[in-house]
Amino acid sequence: MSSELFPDRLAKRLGALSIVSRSGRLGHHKGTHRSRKTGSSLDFSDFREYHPGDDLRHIDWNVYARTDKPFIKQFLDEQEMRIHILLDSTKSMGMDGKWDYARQLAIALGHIGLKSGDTTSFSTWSNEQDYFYRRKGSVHRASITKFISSIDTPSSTDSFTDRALRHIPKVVTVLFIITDGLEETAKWEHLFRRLPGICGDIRLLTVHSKPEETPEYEGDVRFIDSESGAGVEVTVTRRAVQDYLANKSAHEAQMTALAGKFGIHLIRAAVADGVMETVTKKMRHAGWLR
Amino acid sequence: MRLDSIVNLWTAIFPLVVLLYYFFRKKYEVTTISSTLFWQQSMRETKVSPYLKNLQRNALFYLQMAALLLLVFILLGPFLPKEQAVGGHTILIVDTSASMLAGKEQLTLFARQQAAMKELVVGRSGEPITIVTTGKEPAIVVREQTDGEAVLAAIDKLAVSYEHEHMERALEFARSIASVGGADIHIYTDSLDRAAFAEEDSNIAWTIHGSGDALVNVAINKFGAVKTPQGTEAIVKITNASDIDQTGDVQLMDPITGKVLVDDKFTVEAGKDALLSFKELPVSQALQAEIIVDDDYRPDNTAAILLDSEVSEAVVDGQLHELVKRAFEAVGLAVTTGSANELLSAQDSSIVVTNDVSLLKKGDKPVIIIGRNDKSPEPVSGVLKSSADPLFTIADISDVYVSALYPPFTSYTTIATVGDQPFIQQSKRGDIVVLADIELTDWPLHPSFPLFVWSAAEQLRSDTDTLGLFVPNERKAVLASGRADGLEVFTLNDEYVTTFVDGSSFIAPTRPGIYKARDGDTEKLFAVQLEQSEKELVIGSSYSIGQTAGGTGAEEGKNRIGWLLLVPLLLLLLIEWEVQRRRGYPN
Repeated sequence: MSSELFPDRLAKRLGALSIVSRSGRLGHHKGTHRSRKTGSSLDFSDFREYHPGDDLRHIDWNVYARTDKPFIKQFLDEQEMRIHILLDSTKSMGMDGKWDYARQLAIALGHIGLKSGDTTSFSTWSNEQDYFYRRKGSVHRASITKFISSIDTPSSTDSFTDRALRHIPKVVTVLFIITDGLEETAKWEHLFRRLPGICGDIRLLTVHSKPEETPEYEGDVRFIDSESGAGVEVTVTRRAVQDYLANKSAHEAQMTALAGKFGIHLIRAAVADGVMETVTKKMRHAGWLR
Repeated sequence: MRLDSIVNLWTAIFPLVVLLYYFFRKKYEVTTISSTLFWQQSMRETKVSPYLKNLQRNALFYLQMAALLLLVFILLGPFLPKEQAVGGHTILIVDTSASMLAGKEQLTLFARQQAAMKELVVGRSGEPITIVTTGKEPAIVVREQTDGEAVLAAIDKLAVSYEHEHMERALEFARSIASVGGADIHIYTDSLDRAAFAEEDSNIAWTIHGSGDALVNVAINKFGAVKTPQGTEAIVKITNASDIDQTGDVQLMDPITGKVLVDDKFTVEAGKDALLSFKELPVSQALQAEIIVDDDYRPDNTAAILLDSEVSEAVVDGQLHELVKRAFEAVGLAVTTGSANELLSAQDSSIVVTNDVSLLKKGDKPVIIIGRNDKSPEPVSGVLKSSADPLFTIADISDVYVSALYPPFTSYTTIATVGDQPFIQQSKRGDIVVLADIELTDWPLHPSFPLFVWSAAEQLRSDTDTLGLFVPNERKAVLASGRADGLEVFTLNDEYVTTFVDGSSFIAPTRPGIYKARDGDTEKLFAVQLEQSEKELVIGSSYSIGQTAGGTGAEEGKNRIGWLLLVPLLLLLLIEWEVQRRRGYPN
């Protein structure tokens, strides 16, 4: 199962990617990410004049010899990040291969996080139970793959935006949200408004399937909403499809605008693109990974 | 509204084909998608209500269907018959004569007309309806009744009265009812000539519902019998009014004993008469003839007669005053003036009125004597008194003035006196003797005179055992004893028919046949016979005449309305075109 959903060759291709964050809020533990604060890493950062009280061990004696003034040699600090991946598990995610794709994305992000030695957590839920996973260290890469792969089908019937907040841990450096975004923008706005209080660096991945982007229905179709079960009867004509696409792009534009307003990064991820393409190209372009 | 060319109904195939096409049309494909968020939005502008949605979705179908059905309907040639009742008053004239009983396969014309009437009434519920039955005295069954149920109940109760319809009286009657405000008059009969409507009635629309069918009828046209020394001799005339020769049985029977006297076969050629005579039949009071033949009209297949036929003639002595003759004419007798010899020979079959007292000794039938030719009158004065004889039950003679009287017959019973002198006497044989000339009294000036004459004639007649022949429903006064239990009428099988308080209100029963009238102890027979005109069936067509609203009087107008529908049809096609243009071809 796990090998099928996320084969090893994909894991290998993730290579040396690591998550970039400009957020100041790093974890308290030692990690692999350089902090803007000075610290005890081997990388040189800067010189500054000595002030009484500074640690004498940090005085650069060579400089003192040349200039007769005591200077303190500063080094960069290296700290860990706390990465959280929140997966939308409402029923609409189960359509058209979106679920597999979304899980692959979650696993890929989890691998990257774990490999960098960051505390990586993952959460989602179904109607019956909540799923939560938190590990640190690259040895746990296999277990996160297994954990995420075991969630077979998305079955939550609640609105994603209503429950999302409850499933985000308290201290998070980088928050990845993987969703299909098929909810009213007013609800998203409600969620977005509260997210920056929890985390400074939020990254929203909206998953789109091919039938959603280019509907290929014909004739008279009765569409059933996968979540509410409500039916809509549509005579599919070119005009109807045009209207649909116009509505969809308007919705997406609104989402992007909203995200921008609240400082949230947003990437459109299409199922057809494939995981690797999304991770290695789109995320890197967006500066999410390096 | 009616349809002219119902044949074009075959074109209904076309809308049916379209209907089938839509039955097999592709249904909505059900597809589950992630979210209908965006589709919903695209549908919202057209989603109004489930009904309108359905209409919208199938607009093309409905339009096509409507257009095709309309087309079929136009091809059927719809028209509105030009008849409407102004003021809404409908008068139904129902022919209740015997000929309405004709009809094929048990369903008589009367029953058919009843059904037709009901149909009409149901269609005009709430409008005033008057029902008039025909006869010598047209009668109103319901008058301006607006309650449809009551009218229907009244129609159900209608029955044939066997009496001749006397349609012209019913028409006059209906005209008088409809004289104010006008009316739509429907006549339910077998046949009525258009000549009856020669004079134009404004505001009256006549609709005549005729029989329409040609019917086979074999009738006993005439049936007579006479007593001869050799026994009774009878003649039956059978008429065949059909196009084919008819054979059947003829039966003569004595209805009193129920014994069949003759049973014979007969054959009548198409459209001809046959005369059958029977001789040396046993002596009987009444005879009934019946033909057993397969025809469509039964009431005229039997006939009954009484052998003691009624006395309906009076012979008045020429020497008597003219007023006497007038009085006998006034009570409905055929009066002739005769000499002494003629009086004698007529005594057996007529009422003889004379002043010749010798007739009291001759013959064996009683006579009426007014005055005496053998004596001369003596002046008299005093109050006139009459006894309780049946002769005076309706004629009160107490204020008659008598100036002189002839001497009385000593052996006779006195039934009226002036002072203490006998005025009117009666012999044992039944002779009635008035002991004064008419000139000696002022009696003719009193209304009691013709009443007395009638009573006297009836009394002479009542010596026979019969009341005579009647036509159905005939109103004729008969002399009754005036007892409290009145005059009771029974059939020959002793079934009670009716009772009359006195003889003057006697009305014959409707059904033809022989009846018994019981008046106290005496029992008399009488026969009810169909009128001659009711033995012939006439085929009549249905037609309408006149208009209620002062129109031109066109018959059975047709108001074609098909062309009116062409405009909506064209409109429908245009709408269809527009729907097609906007929505495109369905798949």
